[in-house]
Amino acid sequence: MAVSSEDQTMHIVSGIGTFVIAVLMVGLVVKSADWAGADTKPRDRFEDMEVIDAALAELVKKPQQQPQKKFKAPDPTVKPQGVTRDDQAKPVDRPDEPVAKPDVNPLDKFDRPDNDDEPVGKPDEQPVGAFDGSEFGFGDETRGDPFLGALKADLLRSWEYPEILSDVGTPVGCIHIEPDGTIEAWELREKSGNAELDDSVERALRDLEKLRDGEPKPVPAHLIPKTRKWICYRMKVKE
Amino acid sequence: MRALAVLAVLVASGMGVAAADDGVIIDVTGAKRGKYPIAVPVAVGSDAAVAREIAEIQSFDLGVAGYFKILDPKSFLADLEGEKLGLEPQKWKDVGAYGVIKYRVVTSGGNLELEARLYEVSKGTTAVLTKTYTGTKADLRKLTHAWCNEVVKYYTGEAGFFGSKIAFVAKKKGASTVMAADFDGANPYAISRNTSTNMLPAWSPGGGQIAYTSYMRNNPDLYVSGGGGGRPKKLAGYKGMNTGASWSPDGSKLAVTLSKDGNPEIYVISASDGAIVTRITSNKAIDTSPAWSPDGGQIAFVSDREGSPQIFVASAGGGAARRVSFNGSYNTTPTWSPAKGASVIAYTTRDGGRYDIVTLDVATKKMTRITQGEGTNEEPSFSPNGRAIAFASTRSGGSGVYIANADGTGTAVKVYSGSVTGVDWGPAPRP
Repeated sequence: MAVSSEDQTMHIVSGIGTFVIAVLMVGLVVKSADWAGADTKPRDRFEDMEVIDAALAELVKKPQQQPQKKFKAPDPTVKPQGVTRDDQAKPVDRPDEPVAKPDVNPLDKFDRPDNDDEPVGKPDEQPVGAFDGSEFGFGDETRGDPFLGALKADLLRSWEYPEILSDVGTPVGCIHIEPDGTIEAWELREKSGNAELDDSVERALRDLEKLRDGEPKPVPAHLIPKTRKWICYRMKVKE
Repeated sequence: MRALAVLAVLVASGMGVAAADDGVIIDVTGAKRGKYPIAVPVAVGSDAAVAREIAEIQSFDLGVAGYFKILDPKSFLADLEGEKLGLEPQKWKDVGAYGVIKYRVVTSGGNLELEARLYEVSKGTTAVLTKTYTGTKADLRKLTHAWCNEVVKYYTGEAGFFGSKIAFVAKKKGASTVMAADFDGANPYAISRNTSTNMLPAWSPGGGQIAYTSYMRNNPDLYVSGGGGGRPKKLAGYKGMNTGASWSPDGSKLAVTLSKDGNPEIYVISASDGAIVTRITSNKAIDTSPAWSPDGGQIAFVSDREGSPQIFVASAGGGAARRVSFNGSYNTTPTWSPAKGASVIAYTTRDGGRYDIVTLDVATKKMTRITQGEGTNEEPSFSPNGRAIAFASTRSGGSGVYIANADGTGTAVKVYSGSVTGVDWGPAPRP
């Protein structure tokens, strides 16, 4: 299409005019702002802000993610429909019914039935409870006095009785213990009528005396009034 | 007063504590039970060599009896010269002795007189048992065994097994000879007198005969010899094997393995002529090693009918068998304990590539290990009272016949050195 020279001149003039008007308007806006603030005091910039905890105000950085690979879901496959025998038929796929999740502690899976960890630290000097068969342990189930319990345990350790001998009889042996833990005296207070059994108790008391005199364990202060008297043991070979 | 009040509270709370007139009484239960500590000092004032031999025999006998702990003579504190046949109890208490044996032996020419006393330390200076024996010097072991049997009987009420005999097979230069010896290995002698293979000896209940299998006529036939040896009599010569004899308690029959029909089966045959009395097993599996129970009612044997050799028990009259061993995959050579009231079988078991002896209480299923990790241990046989077990072993102490406590305690002791198999302990000696 042919364009005349008059049309070209008109386009150029209108473009220049548009540009000049736009420049004048921008300049007017900028200047009017300067004029507005020239005679006022600058406002406090924190005047309208609330004071908040700096820590709370700290921006939480969004963790930087590794580039993620985009996956595309596979196209649904259409199983071929055909005739099958009963013994070939697969169970009909049915949508899973929602199953209520059991109310379990997710940490339960870390529980173990037994604690097989190696014990750490120094073992107790004396086992809690009555490993020696004494009721004078100091565990809850064998509450009693530990000193008397240890004394009885030492007596039991000293008491041996040959298996081929009769176990009939219940002799009573007694000891008198000093506050420093040494055994000042012992005696067979009551004989059982079984000479071998009585003899075994005397041997046990003698061995207990040797043991405690060799390594005296002082009597605790709260027991000293009791140990001023004889401590006697009614000895039975078995229940 | 306050202390007494505290004690009264303890009593009331049922803590096993009771107030005494002038103290406190505590109940103690549970003595440690162990062997009976007994001292056997060498007699003084006697023929030293004979006295020492008697002490050694006593220590050995009582040591393997299963009841006693023999104290070390080095620990003795007593004045033996001063005591002579007497006793100063406190000196023996101080070394832990409960019993002490004193004796005196007098030799004159070829004769010997042995006076022996047993003391219980708790009963003071009076002997609780005294015996006197006379004989020749050659009877020394026999007389000492007889005394030790009295000691065992004093404490347990049952006879000891000292003076009994064992039979076994000694292998040397390709030949296997049936041997017999005192239970402690002394006085060994040959039963079989051929250069062929002889095996699996079995004492008759009275000890007068030994049955064994021999290849002396090429077929493994069953022979019976006198307990002292002598010419054997062929009892069973069926086609195939005639092996593994076990006498019935009354001595009238034997349980044996016969393969006359091709497959090894358990039969009962007559002890007089070898005629078949009863067939115990009948199946395609291998059934072998019969062992007659002491009450005569049952026969234990080995069968692989369930895939591996295991111990089964059947009625001595025949009928269904029941499996009794379930440990491991190889259990053989069963033998019954003759102890009264017991229902215990000892057998050889393969454990981790080794062969060991175990006992099984058929009633309670309780198993007890007799040997462990000491060479190969096979073919157990109980002592006449069931308190000890003899077996063949290749342990580091040397191959031979060993004796161990039947309760699994203590250490086995060797009584005969050599390559041996087929150990069988004979009956109790006649008093």
